[in-house]
Amino acid sequence: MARYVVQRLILMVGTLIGVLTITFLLTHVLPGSPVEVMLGHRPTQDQVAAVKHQLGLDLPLWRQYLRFLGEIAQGNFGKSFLTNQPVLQDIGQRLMATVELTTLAAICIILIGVPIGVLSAVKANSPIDHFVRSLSVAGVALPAFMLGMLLQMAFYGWLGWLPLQGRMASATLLDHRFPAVTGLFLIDSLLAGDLVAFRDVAAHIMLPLATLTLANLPLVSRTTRNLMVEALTEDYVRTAFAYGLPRRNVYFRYALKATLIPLLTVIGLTYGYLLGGAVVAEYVFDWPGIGGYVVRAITESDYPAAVGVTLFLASAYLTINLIVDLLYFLVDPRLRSS
Amino acid sequence: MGVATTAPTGQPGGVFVPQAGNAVMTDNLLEIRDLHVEFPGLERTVKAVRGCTLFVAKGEVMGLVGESGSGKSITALACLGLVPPPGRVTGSIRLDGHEVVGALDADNERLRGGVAAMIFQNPGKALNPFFTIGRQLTDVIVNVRRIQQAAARGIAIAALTEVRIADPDRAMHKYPHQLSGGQLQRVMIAMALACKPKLVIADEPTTALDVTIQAQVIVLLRDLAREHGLTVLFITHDLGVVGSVCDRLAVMYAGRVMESGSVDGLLASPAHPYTASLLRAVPMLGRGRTELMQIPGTVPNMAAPPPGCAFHPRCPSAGPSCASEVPAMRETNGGRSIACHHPLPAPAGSSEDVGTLAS
Amino acid sequence: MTAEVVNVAVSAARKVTTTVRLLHFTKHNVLFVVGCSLFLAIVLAAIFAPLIAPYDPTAINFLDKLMPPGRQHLMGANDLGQDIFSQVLYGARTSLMVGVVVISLAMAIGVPIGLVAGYFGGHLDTALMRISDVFLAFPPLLLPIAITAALGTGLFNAMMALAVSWFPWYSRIVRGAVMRINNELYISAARAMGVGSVRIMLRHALPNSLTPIIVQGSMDFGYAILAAASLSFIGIGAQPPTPEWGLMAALSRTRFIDNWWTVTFPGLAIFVTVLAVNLVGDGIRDTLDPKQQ
Repeated sequence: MARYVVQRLILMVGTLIGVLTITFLLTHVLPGSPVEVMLGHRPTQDQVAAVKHQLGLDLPLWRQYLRFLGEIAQGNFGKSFLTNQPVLQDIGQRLMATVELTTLAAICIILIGVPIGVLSAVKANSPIDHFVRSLSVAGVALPAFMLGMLLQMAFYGWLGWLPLQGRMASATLLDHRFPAVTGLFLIDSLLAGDLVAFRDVAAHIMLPLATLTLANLPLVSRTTRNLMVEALTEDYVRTAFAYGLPRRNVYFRYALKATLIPLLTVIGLTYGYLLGGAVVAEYVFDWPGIGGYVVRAITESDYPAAVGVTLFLASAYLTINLIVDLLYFLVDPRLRSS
Repeated sequence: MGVATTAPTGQPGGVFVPQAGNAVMTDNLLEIRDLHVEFPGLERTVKAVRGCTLFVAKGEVMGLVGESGSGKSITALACLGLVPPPGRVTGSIRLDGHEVVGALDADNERLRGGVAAMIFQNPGKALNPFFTIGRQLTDVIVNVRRIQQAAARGIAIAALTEVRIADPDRAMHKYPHQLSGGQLQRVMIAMALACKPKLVIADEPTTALDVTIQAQVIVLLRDLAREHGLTVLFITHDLGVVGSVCDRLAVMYAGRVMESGSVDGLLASPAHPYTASLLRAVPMLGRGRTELMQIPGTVPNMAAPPPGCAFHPRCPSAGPSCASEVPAMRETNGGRSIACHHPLPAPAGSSEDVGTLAS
Repeated sequence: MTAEVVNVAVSAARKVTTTVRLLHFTKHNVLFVVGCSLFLAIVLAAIFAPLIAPYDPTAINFLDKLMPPGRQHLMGANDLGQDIFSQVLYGARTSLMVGVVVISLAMAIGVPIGLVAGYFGGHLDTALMRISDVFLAFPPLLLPIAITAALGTGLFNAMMALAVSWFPWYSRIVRGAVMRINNELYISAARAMGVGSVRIMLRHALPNSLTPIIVQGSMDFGYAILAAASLSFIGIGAQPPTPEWGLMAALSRTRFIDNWWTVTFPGLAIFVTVLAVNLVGDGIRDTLDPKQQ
């Protein structure tokens, strides 16, 4: 098994280099010069030349590439044009906001989607099953941004229960500052014992959380359902029933374990969708996370930032997939022996 | 699960009703009466079991023989209320006095394992690959015998020892894929034994195993049955096996029992043409170079079985009434029952003498 | 749909009432029929948009600014006074085109790569698959965003970006199908007879992989429309004045809370279209590959 891990890590590094290369090509080969962006309008020839030299743009392409790889290896992702801070620092400041949102969404999706899928499978072809499947089909057709806006219209515009956007109301932020221990505001406000701040943070995270959860729920519940239906036809499930084991145990322990491997794959994929979906959700809700950072970096041609964040997100996604693959070993004893 | 009817409906020909005062009736552990199982589908309904009647007395090993599609496995599942949806079960199955057909699943759950334990055909697939066999055994034992985990473990190891698994302690920690087919079937038998059931239903327990292993498992089953005084319903399509294990035999065709009686009697002088054809078709060593007799025709389509006696299109003794009237199950002297309009004459004289070699 | 048409023609010849057969088919495939009907309606709306649309979708009219849905504007007007109904109709053209273009392009890139990788195997295969893996390493939407950003915003570039991000799926499908038949005897026979590789790939490998490609394509059609709309929404895809449903939602972001129609109707249009396409795709998949669900 250790050999497998090493193999996968090597593969991952190779893939990351590929990702780096593509990102490099995108930013350096295609038209659109970062120089103009940096210098604003009508720079002089000398200014342009100076900046070009500084950025290394006057070197031949392959040398730029090597320099690029070298810098990345050292952890130097460059400086953002817009914030003038190192990109890594920008990412650090905004990372936890996204982590809080996507992790909570992932938990909600699993806690809601899997039992629904199991229920749907156990009562296959019953009205409940048809209802759940219809919801799944419909849910996939609704774009996430639309869902977010509908929620805003309903809960902010019409009912006035929840705030429109942002992570905290600025008024609350001023009066209730709490130390950022983990960067996860829900936890930090509780740690500081500040209930007013906690309620505010919770209220703000509700809608983006609901959007991300509902947008990705159908896939998980549908996959769980289909996998469970197949698992329930297995002979060993029949054996469990033949010895009178209680139904709930059979479903959630014996049958579900069989679905775990493909289900883990889907969960890994879902986390990927969440990372991608966070981009849209953060845009809709003005959430100060990485997603919003990427969009702004790209629309404003902030190349270092765009490159940095893309690399970061791709690495995160690859790492998640690697973890999922390693979890297979935990779940399926048949893999361990080989 | 099904609608319980105490009186049979629909089938012309009636049902085998034992005489009052017949000793067989009071000592029966399993009584199947006119069992019907059908699977309604979108376009047609498959009638897997069409009036099966069978009695298994306490302590005996009853063999249930039939080709694929004869309905024997479904009958076995029905005994424990395990017929999968959309199956509809009608008729009566009395297991140790409890009526299974039409009962609540919760009631049937109490019978499973403790009263009747089932052994399935393909042990590699019948055991969960994600759990150790120790875990699967103890889960079942804890649930059926209602004891603590620690005690269950001891019982599991004892059961594994009884089925002659080497090093049972280590085996408990193994996963199914680490054991051979023969060992896995022993594990299944151990699982059944550990529940201390009254009836063991073995559904083709050796079909998926190599021939040499088959013999071992069969011998094991036979010895264990004798030792523990178990009643066994042994289902198989292999006639060659029943001789060494079973006391009595029932032959099923197209969802009905065609003939039943003592093993020796049936094998020596079958009264039903189908049983006779089956015996002729089985190649047995030591019988001399006789030609293998095929049964002409094919197994009937269970969605549209032939009218009257289902075997009549292929029956060498078929007569005019066979195509229209379903033969009723009749009991004859010597514990033989037969459902046929033209039973074969016994070699030693009249049909009344069939089965003088009582079990 | 073609199969049904053939069936109907044949049965007419047999004097069986076509209505009866259609009803029977509908009863067993309700969702598929609903999806097809919806899709047909959308296609017709797109084709006849110039005839149906009451206004020019780009016509600005400040007098009608933010008028709620009513007799003058069926679906209301946005804050430039443009008729939303007309925009939705023309947006159908855009979205359908997006679906077709993205899927076709992704197939055009992915299928040849998959054919070559599967047929020749060996190092070429490994190299091609590793490259594909890199594309799959990006979380969905991120690569299209990055590519579009590099190429410049605009619907055309967004479509290119989506196609380039998705071709790996088709390569894998085709490669799998090709590898499955690679060991078949008739392939070796063809090679021995001197039939060129290209001909073998086109005549044998390609038809074999057609079914899963069609299934995948029908499922991706809807997703392409969704992705393009999302890209337009964040400002990277379609730019004004292109009529695109996601763009419509983006342009109304400042006003939508009190003017629900500006965002709801384009959103509904996306929903109905993607739903219809997915239902059709599910039906196709159920027919061609019933074991997948």
